[in-house]
Amino acid sequence: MGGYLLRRLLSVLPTLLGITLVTFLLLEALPGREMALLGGEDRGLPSSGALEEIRRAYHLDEPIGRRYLGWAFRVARWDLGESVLDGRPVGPILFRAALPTLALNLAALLMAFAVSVPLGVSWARRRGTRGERTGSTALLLLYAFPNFAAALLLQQVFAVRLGLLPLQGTGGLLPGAPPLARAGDFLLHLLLPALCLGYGSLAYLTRFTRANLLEAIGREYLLAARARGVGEAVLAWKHAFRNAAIPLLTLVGLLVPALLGGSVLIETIFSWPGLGRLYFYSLSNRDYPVVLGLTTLTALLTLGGSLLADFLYALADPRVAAQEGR
Amino acid sequence: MANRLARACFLLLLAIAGAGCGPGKAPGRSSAAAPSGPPDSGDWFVLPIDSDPATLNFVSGTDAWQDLVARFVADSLVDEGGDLQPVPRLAASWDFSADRKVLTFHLRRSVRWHDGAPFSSRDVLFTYRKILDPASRARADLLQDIREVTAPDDFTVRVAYREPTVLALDAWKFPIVAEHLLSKGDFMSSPVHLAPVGTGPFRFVSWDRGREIVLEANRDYVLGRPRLDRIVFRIIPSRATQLQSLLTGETDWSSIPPEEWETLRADTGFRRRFQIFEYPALYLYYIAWNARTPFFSDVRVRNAMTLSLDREGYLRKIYRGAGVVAATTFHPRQFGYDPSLPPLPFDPGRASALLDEAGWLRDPGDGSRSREGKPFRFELLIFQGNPVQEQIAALLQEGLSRNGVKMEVRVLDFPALLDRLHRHDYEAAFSGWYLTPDPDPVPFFHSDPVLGSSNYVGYSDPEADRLLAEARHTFDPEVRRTIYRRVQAILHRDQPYTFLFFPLQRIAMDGRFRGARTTAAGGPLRAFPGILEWHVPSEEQKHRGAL
Amino acid sequence: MTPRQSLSRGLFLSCLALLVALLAPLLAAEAPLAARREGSLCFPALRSIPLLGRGLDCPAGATLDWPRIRKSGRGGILLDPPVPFGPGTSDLDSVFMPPSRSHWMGTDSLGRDVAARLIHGFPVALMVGGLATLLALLLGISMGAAAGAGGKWLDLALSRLIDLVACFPTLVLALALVAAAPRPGLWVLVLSIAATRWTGVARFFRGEVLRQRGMAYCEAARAAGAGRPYLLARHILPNALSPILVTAAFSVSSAVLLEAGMSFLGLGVPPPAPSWGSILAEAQRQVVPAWWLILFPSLALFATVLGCTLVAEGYRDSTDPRITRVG
Repeated sequence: MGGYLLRRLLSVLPTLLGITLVTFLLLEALPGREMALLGGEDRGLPSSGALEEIRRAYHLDEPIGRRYLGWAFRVARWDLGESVLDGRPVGPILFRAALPTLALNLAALLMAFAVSVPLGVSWARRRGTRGERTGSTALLLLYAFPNFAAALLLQQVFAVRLGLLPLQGTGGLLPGAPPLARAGDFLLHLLLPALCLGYGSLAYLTRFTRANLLEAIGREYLLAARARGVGEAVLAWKHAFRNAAIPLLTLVGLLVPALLGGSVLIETIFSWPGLGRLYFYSLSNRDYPVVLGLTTLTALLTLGGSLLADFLYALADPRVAAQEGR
Repeated sequence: MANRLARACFLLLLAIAGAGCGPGKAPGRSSAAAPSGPPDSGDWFVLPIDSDPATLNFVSGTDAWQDLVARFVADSLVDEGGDLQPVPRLAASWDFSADRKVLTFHLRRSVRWHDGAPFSSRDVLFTYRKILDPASRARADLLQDIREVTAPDDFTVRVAYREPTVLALDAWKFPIVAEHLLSKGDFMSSPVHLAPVGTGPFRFVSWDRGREIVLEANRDYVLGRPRLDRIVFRIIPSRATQLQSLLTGETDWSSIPPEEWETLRADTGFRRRFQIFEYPALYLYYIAWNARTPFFSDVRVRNAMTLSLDREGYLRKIYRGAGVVAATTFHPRQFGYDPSLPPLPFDPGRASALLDEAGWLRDPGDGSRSREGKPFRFELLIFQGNPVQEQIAALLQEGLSRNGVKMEVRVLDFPALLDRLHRHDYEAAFSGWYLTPDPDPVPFFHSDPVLGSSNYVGYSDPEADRLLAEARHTFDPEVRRTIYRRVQAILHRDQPYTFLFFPLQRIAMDGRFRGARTTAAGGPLRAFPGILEWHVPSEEQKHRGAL
Repeated sequence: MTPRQSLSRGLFLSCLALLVALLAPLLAAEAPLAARREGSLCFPALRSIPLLGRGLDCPAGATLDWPRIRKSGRGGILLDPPVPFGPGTSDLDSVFMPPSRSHWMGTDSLGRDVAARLIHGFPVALMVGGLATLLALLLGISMGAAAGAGGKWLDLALSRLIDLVACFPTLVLALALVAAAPRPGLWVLVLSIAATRWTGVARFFRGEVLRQRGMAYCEAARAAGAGRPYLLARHILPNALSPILVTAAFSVSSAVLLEAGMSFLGLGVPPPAPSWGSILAEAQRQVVPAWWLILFPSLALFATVLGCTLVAEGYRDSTDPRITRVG
C-alpha cells in the first residue's frame, strides 16, 4: 500500500511538468502578446525600438525550450515571477484571488452537503415512496437548469427587484467598519454566488449519499446492531453514514476542477474577485506569468484532490492498490 | 390681543424657517447654488474606476485611470485650461524665439516634492529622457520634432525644435517625475511606481489593490492647498454597480448609461441630489477598411459601406443620443471643423448603385454580389466585451446582406485585434481612437509609417500628406483652418475609414460639490485647475475628521 | 420517475428540440411561407433548403424587403411563418419591448424579436453540441482503445496525457484554444469544446477495453487468430456501446452549456448569431435587465439540457441490471 501511494505521488511530478509545458506552448500560440505588453491600448503602431525593447525585456527571441526551462527552474525555487501588467509578484496575486474562490467553493459544497446528506439519508430509508420520487425529479430539474442563467434570474429577483441581497462583490462596507459587521456583510454577499454554484450538485450528491448508504445498510454487521435493538434512525446516522463518508470525501477530491471551472461564470456575474475571474482576465490581457501560475496552482489542486481521493479509496478498499500495481 | 401675538409669533417662526432654508440647503445644478458662507475646506471625493491601473508609473503607463491619478499627484509644465488655452503649472511662464524654433520655460521656484526635496529643471530633463528611452515603453510621438533639450540653470528649460510646430506646447503636458527618487536602480521596477511621489495638489496615501486608491490634499502645494481633503478612487468593475453606488451614497460620481439618461434626467428627486453633466468624450469609433484588399481599394465601395449603415438612427434610437455622428476625425467642437461637410446619410439605394458601378453585380438567383467570379464576402473583426461594436456589426451585417454583400463577424480579444490591425492582416476591423483637443490628424492619415502610426488602412494620398504636414507648421489660425477644410473634403470624398461617432459622456455627480463644471476642454475633471476649485460647504460635508 | 419514464420524456424533449432546430427557417423568418407575386405562387421561406430551395423563391426574391412589404399591407403575402421575423431583423423603433401580441417574447437591444432568435438558437446549440460530442467521442474512443489495447508504455503515456488534459478547468481551456486559433470561427469553437470533453470517454473506454480483454470470449477469438483491431471493432465496441451512449447524451448537454457559457463571455459563436448565451449576455449588461431576455433563453437551455439528461439517465438506469425497479 505504501508502495502504491509512493508511485502515485511520484507520478504527480511528470504530470505537473506536462501540464505546465502544454500551457506554455498554448500561450505561445496566442496572438497579440507584444501589443498587450506595450499597454494594450490603440495608440498607433509602436515604434520598432519599442518592439525590440519588449522582446529583449521578456526574452521573446529566445527559443521556447530555453524559456520554459528558465521558468520551470524559477518555480522550483518558489519564484513564480512577476505579473507583466503591474510588476507585482505572482504568488501574492494568486493568494489574494484564491481566498475568495476557496470561500465560494467551500460555501457551495457546505450548502450542497447540508441539504443532500440529510436528504440522501432520509430517502435511503424511504426508498420508492412518492415523496422520494417527486423529490428526485425536483432535484433532477434543478440539475438541468444552467447555473449562470439561475444566477442572472436570482440576481434579478433578490438583488434588483426585492433589494434583499447585495448585487455583486465581496462587501460594500467602508474599510473602517468593525470586523464583525464586515464578516456579516461578506456572508451576505457570499450567499447568492455560493447557492448558484452549489445547487447543481444537489441531485448527484443526494443520490450518491443514498446509494452508498443503501449499500452500507445492507452489510452484515448492521444486522447485528439491529439485533441488539439499536433504532433505525440511529443506525442510519451513526453506523452506515460513517462508512459512506469515505466515498463522499473522495468525491470532494474529484469535484475540485469542476468547481474551479464553473467558477468563471459565477465569479464574472457576481464580480467575485476569485481565481476564475483572474484566469479570464489574465488570459485576455496576455499576463503569462499569472496564467502559468494559475495553471500550476489548479493542476496541483486537482492532482492533490485526485490523489486524496485515490488514497481514501485505497484505504477503504485495499484491493484497489493491489490491482493498480501491475 | 393674544390672537395678534400668536399670529406675530407664527409669522416670526415662518420667517426664521424661511431664512434657514437658504440656497445652501438644496444642492442644485452646478451654476445655480451660491455658497452660504466662506468657502470651506474638507470632505472627500469618491469616484469609481473600472479596475486597478496596471501601474502608477506616470511615464510608461497608458490607461485612463492611471492618467487621472497622475494629473492629481504630479504636475506637468503646462496643462489645458477650460478655454483650451495652455495654463501654467510647473512652468510659471514661457516664451518662443522669433523663429519659433526655441521654446524656453521658466519654472516656478520653491516647488517641493511630496517628500520635501526641491523641484528643479533636473527633474524635467530626467523625465524627458526617460520618455525617449525605449526601455520605458512610453509614447513619445509629440516629442519627435525636438532636436534637443537643455537646462541652462535650475529653473530654466530650453527646448530646441527642428522645425517650428504648432504643437510645441502640447508636447509638454506630460507629468514630471522625481529624478532624485527614480534615477537610482532600475527605473521600470522601482517601488516608487507603487507609491508615487509628485509635486501635485494631492499626495499619494495608499493603494489597496482591488479596493481603492487614496490621495490626500497637499497642504504645501505651490498654487495653494486644494479645498477637498481627499480623493478616493474606488474600484468597482461593473458600470451597473457604479450607478448603484452613487444612488446609495457610497460614491460621488457615476457615468450614466444611455438607457437611463432620459429617466434620470426627468426624475426631480434625482436632480435634487445630483448634478448631471453631458460633454463630448474625445474618442472616435471607426471601422477600418483595409485598402490593400480587392474590395476596399475602390473608393466607391468604401463609400457604399458608409452609406449602408444608419449611424444617425443607431445613435438616436439605440444609443439614446449619447453620441455625435462623425464626418471625419474632426469633432464639431474642435478648431477647424467644417460644418458644410455633413456626414454621409443612410442611403442603401445609393450604396447599391455605387457597388454596381464598381463592378460588384448581383447574381440574379440569390442576389449575392460578385465580380469576375469572386464573391463579395469579408470578415469584420471586433473585440469582445463592447456592446456598441456588436450592435453596429449586427446592423451593418443586416444592411449589407440586403444589398447582396456577405459580412461575417469575428470576435477577438483586444490584444489579438490590435496585433492584426498593426500587421494589416484583416479585411475590416472595428476600433476607436483617443483624440487630442488639437485636431491634428497626421497620425491617422499620413502615408509615412512613422508619422502615420495609426494609419492602419494604408491610406495614401499625396495631396493629403502635403497638406497635413503644412498644417503642422502653420501658425496663422485662419490659414490653418483653410488647410483643414481642404483635408476634410479629401477625407470625405475618400472615406478611408467609416467614421462612426464621437460618444458623449454623461455623468452624474453628488450635488454637494460646488465649482464643478464642464468646459470646452471636456468634463469637470478635465481642465486645470478643475478639481482644485471644488469645495463642499461645511454643513453638507460627509466625511469629516483630520486630514 | 421510473427509468422508462425518464427515457421517454427525455426523448420527447430532445426530439422536440431537434424538430425546432430543423424547422427553424420555417418557424421564424422574415420571408413569408407562401406568397403570390407577379401572378405566380412562390414560397420564399423555403429558399434556404438546399437544392430544391432556389426554384421556390419569388421572382427577384433576393431584392425583396419583406418587412417593408408586410408593413405596407400589400405584396401578396398568403401565409406567414408563426414568427414573422428573422433572427437578424432589426427594428430600431421597437427596442426593448416587453412581450406583446406582435412580439411574443419581446425584443432585444436592436429591436430583434426574441422568439425568432430563440428558435434559431436551437440549430446553433444542437449543432455545436452535437458535433463537439461526436468529435469528442471519436477522439475518446480511439485514444481509449489505443491505451487499452496497446502495449504497457503506450498505455502509460496516453493515461498521463488524459490526466493532463483533464486537469485543465474546461472553460479556461476552451477559451484559450479559441483565442489561440489563427482564424476563429464556428469550427474552432466546436473543436475547442470537443477538446475538453474527450477525456471522460477515453478513460471509460480504456477501462472497458482492459476489462474485456481478460474475458473468455476474447481469449477464444484471439486463439482463433483474430487481430486486435478486429476484436475492438467487432466485439469490444458493441459491448461498450450502451455506456458510451449514456456518456454521449451527458456530453451533449454539457457541450451545449459550455457553448452558452462561452457566448455569454463573448467568445463563443460569432455574433450576431443567435446563441442563447449571447442573449443572456446582452441582458446582463443592462442596469435593470429586461426579464424576458433572461427568462426565455434560460428556459430554452433548461429544456435542452433536461432532455439530454433524462435520456442519459433513463437509458443508463433502464439498462443497468443493478438498479432495482420500483413499482
